[in-house]
Amino acid sequence: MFRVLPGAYLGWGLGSNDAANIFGPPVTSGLINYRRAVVLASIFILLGAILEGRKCFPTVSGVTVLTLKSAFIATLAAGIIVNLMSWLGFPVSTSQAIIGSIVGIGLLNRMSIDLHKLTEIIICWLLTPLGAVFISYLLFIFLRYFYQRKIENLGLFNSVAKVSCVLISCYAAYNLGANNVANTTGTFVAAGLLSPFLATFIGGTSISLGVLTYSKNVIFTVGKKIAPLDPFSGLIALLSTAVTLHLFTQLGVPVSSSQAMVGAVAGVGLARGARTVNKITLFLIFISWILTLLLSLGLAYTLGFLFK
Amino acid sequence: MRKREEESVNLAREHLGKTELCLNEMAKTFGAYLDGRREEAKDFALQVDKAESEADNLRREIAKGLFEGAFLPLMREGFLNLVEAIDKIADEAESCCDLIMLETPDIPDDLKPSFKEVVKDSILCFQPLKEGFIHLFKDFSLTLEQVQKVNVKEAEVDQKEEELTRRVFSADLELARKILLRQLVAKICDISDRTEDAADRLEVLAIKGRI
Repeated sequence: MFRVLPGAYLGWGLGSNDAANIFGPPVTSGLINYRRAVVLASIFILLGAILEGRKCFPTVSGVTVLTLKSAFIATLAAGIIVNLMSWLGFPVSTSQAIIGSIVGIGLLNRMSIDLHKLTEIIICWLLTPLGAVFISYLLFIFLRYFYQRKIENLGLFNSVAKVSCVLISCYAAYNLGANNVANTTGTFVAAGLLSPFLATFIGGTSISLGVLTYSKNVIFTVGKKIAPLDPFSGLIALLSTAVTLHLFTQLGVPVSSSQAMVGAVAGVGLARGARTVNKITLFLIFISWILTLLLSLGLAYTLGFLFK
Repeated sequence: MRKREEESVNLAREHLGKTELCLNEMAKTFGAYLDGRREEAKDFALQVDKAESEADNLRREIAKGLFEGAFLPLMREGFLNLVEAIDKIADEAESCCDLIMLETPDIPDDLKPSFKEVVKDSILCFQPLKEGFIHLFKDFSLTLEQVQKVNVKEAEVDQKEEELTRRVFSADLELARKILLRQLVAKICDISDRTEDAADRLEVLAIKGRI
């Protein structure tokens, strides 16, 4: 079991950081309290991981051939980079970290890299924020039409906001687990150490533990950055993030929930005619995109070289 | 609505009722004062004090309930702002009564009907505010309609304030008396101004709820 520890470490980092994308805005805007949020998140992340997580395994394991040792190093490098970037305050993506590490290990071992698959993955990453913009724009226009006709008073507004917040957050947590669990233990499935079920269980549990044990600060920090949105816009942004993750899970490609959320917030802003994402945020995302890929590739390559 | 929200709404309705009572007793105070029934006016003024103090207690209870978690934070702040704005109307009514009972301004007979009219109109602004508040829990669009009515009535009161102030200063009175009467006119009209402030808060709440 020692060999899957980097996966658990990466999963824990993912849980402690990415839960903020889902529960940050609802928790800081008071739609749901922190304790209830993290309990629900961990349950639905695990559920999503076990029920649909295996759909992304072929992508993670298909980039190059992985041995047990190279899977261990790639996952460890990704875990280190994810936690380092988070510590530095960058909106990091575990998907980019693990793919970068796998490519690094593949290059070191002179294994063939499936460029076709890699191109597909990169296209999906580019499409993540763009897709989220599109989805949230459409959802905002469509749901606002019904909302304005049905939510006519303060009492109803209050109840609908609270109930839909819980439902949407659970759906988003489910999709985070389903889409991202392959990042944590996918390499070990490729290396033949874990069965897909065991991999989803270990990965899902470690993400859930990250949410339960270390997500509080990030939830409040990230949440406050997005909280200026009103409850309706916040929920639309969250729903769009969840739908985006869901779609990419069906395509079998793990993507970044942070980038999906930024796209979703921008889409809501577009629909409202307001600017919700500033240039600095977009620049940070772009920089962290490049840095995560390069650093994880470089670290995996270096670690692989040192422990050869 | 959940129990916690329902309690806050019921308290806010009660608070609204106390504010209305303040205004009605204030109208009686002015009526008795202008008719020369000073002792009766004093009794009515005491009723205003009592109702205002009860309104204050209700406001505190509402604030406590809201901070214990009634409503979403976004609405909670707006709701509390609204209750505080309504409470200022009651404060203003008490302050008006204090002014006439403590300073006992001597109002010329020919100006008394105009004073009565300004008092009546200033207080009348409260009715659409009250309706608008009740509609907040039924239909946002009706709330916004009532807010418009408050604005229209307040503009009418402003016009009457100007007219009455002009008449006070064109009357053959000592300057000190004129200043005191102008102060009284302004104080009475502050009620419609505070009502308009509360209506603005009500409007913000309704707009937030409608996206």
